Amino acid sequence: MSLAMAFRLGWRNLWRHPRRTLLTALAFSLGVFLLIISLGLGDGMHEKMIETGVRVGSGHVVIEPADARSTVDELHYLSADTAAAAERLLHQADLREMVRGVAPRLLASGLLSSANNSTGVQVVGAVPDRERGVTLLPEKIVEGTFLEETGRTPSTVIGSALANKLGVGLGSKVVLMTQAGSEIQSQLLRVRGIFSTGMEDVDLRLVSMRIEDLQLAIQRDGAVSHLAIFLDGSERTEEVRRLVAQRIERGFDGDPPSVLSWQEAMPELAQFIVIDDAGNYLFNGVLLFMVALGVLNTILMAVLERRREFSLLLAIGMRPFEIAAMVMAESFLLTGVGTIVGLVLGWSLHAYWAIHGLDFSGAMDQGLSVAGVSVDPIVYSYLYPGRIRWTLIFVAILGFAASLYPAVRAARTAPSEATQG
Amino acid sequence: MDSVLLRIGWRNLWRNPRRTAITALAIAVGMIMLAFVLSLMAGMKRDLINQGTQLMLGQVQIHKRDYRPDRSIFDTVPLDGRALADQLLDRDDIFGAAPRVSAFGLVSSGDKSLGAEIVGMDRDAESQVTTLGRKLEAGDLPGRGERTIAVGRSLANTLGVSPGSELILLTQAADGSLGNDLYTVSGIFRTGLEMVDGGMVVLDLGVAQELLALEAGRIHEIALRSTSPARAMEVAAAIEQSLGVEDISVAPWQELAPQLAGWVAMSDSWMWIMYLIVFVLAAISVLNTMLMAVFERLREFGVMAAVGMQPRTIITMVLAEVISLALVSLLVATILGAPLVHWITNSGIDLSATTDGISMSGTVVDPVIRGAWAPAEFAVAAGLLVVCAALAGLYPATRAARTDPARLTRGEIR
Repeated sequence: MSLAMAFRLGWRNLWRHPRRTLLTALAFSLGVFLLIISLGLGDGMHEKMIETGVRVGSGHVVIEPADARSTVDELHYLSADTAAAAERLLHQADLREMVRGVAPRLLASGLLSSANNSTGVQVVGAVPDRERGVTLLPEKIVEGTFLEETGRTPSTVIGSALANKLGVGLGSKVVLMTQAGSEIQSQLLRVRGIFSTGMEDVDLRLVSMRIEDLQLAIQRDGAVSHLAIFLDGSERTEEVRRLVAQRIERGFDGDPPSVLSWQEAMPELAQFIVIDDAGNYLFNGVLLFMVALGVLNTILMAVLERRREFSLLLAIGMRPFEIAAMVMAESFLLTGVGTIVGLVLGWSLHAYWAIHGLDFSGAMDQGLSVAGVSVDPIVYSYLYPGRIRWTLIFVAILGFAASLYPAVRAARTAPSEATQG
Repeated sequence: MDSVLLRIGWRNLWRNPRRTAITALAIAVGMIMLAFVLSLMAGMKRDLINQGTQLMLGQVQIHKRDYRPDRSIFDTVPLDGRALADQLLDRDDIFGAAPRVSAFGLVSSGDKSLGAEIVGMDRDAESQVTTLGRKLEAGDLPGRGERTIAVGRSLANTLGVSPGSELILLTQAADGSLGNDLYTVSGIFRTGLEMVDGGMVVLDLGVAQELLALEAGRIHEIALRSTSPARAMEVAAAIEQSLGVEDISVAPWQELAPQLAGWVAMSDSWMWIMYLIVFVLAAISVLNTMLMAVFERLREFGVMAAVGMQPRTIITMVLAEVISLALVSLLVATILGAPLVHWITNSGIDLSATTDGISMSGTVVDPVIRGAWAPAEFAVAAGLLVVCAALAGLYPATRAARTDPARLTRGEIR
């Protein structure tokens, strides 16, 4: 018996009990459907968190002074020369294609005071043109501009929560107290922009000013804390990190700066994603196991009630493995139909949610955050490449496993059963 | 229901033991998964609330009404705070009351400095409310009257200090002057929350009041520990009423940490999605099995109808079979699932190889995730399964009851 024949027989056998076949296929397609949409929502949520994290933090890939994370004896800066040399490397054609933007930053910590109140802040010195279109703050400005206006007093932009706390508004003056060399200095700043990201930590603690103003305030001429590199999505992070690291190692003698991916720069977020993914896999695995038992049940029933038929086939000379092939073809077609239906439905819903998003704000009215990154209540479905392929492989293995036992049972039917009546 | 029908239903179930076993196993796997997830969620909910309230928050806090969210140092509780804390301890439902002051300042060591929250607390009172005192890697929190300071691990790393080092604090004081003083590091704490480990320093309450130019009775907040986090709302309302001071607000943790309350609410809605998925799949399994069981026995139902059995009786008989199937599934699920839930409750899943704790909405999730027995949820799930199976069994049961005895006599049913 040819394989095509096995499939034709299997297909006909399936439709001897259309209701049973449809119900089982329905259960299977429901499992595949749930798998696709839960992967889509999980990946979508993670990708959004990564994007928010990198856009408010140090980019998909960051170039920072070697040892910045391991030793604590000194504050570390890239000198103006090093930063410029590193930027030149990033302008090479192959990298430019993948890189959406590069932003040099200078970081400092200080105490920001108004006449009413004072609070500790993290100050980011930035180049406004380089931040625009890539990072989060310029987009989230609700009043004023992102460091565009200048005046005699250096400009600053602060978060809405910080503005409330200090009781200041657009045009107000604030004093930044920070370490400059070996002493503490005060710098008068004027608030020329207010942003609101919805992330409590960011809106309350982050302050941005022009990098040259901050360099002057902390007396570090030309210094840069890191170069943040932004990509179009997180998938090519590792590729870019490796390329940049290679170039830097070749381009610098002595102490080259280190190159980190967002996973290394934000380990807590990376760990959350690994654990959350593991939880999703477990859930989906058990779900599909349950569905596979349903397939096993249906095929086994179909086999056991056709013992007479199998023994007759054996009696007229069909070989046991051919019967097994027929049963497996039957189960393959059953799971195949279920998979296709589930895939089509799941993919359609995924495609819809990829554009329109699924709004969870009813379930999480307070706004949630994980590892310091806010979770957006509107999740846009997204599937990492390879997800569909792995889903299909996984489902095929399950379907195969569920058909093995019924196939063996069918093949072992005694030919005498038919003759005994 | 007639007990004879129940017995017949039960026996019919075992006419095809393999089919019954496979169906029961499929449903049981779903139920076990459900119990596992319910237990994990109950455990995580408990741990999140405990961790969130025990670290620094307390279950209830007392402030001057305008104090939150701006936390201005001028907005102190309009009563003698220390006396109020002692007085609250007399209540039956309060086991700890910790008065605190708090301000922002610049912490410096050598040529490095950082902005941080300065919290003044009474070590002994605090130990009755929060667990910060147990999170020390080295040394201890400042004792009463000691001019020392405890700092977080990341702040210590950034400034390069260890116990015995000296730190300078610079802050705006309540009298308008700049508070400025030198303290010896007494201890280093590590909580896993970056906001605390990298942005908070602890002084003794009296010493902090001196730095901030606040008199001994002026404090910003009192954190309270009550019987359980679940009762925080009641307790807060009762205290607010008994104090009867318009300008004092008494808030439960749900109000102080809305994000934490948000996680709890979200995990509850996630639970219903789980119920839905598992029960839809279970219903399809039941429907499929029962349809098979009914269609292969049409002849039998025809005979029953022919000898005068009422359709209603046949329906009852089939439903008895369905419900028996659901109960067998529950039994299998209990036998196989109980050890699993026991394990997840006692040992938990140890993720410490992957992470040393993740902060979610201002709370650290322990790297060992433990479940909890959730009898109410388990009972709901079991009840829903039986209802769901009965609903799925209705269609096969009516089909069975509608068997036409005439077709039997005409030989149309084999």
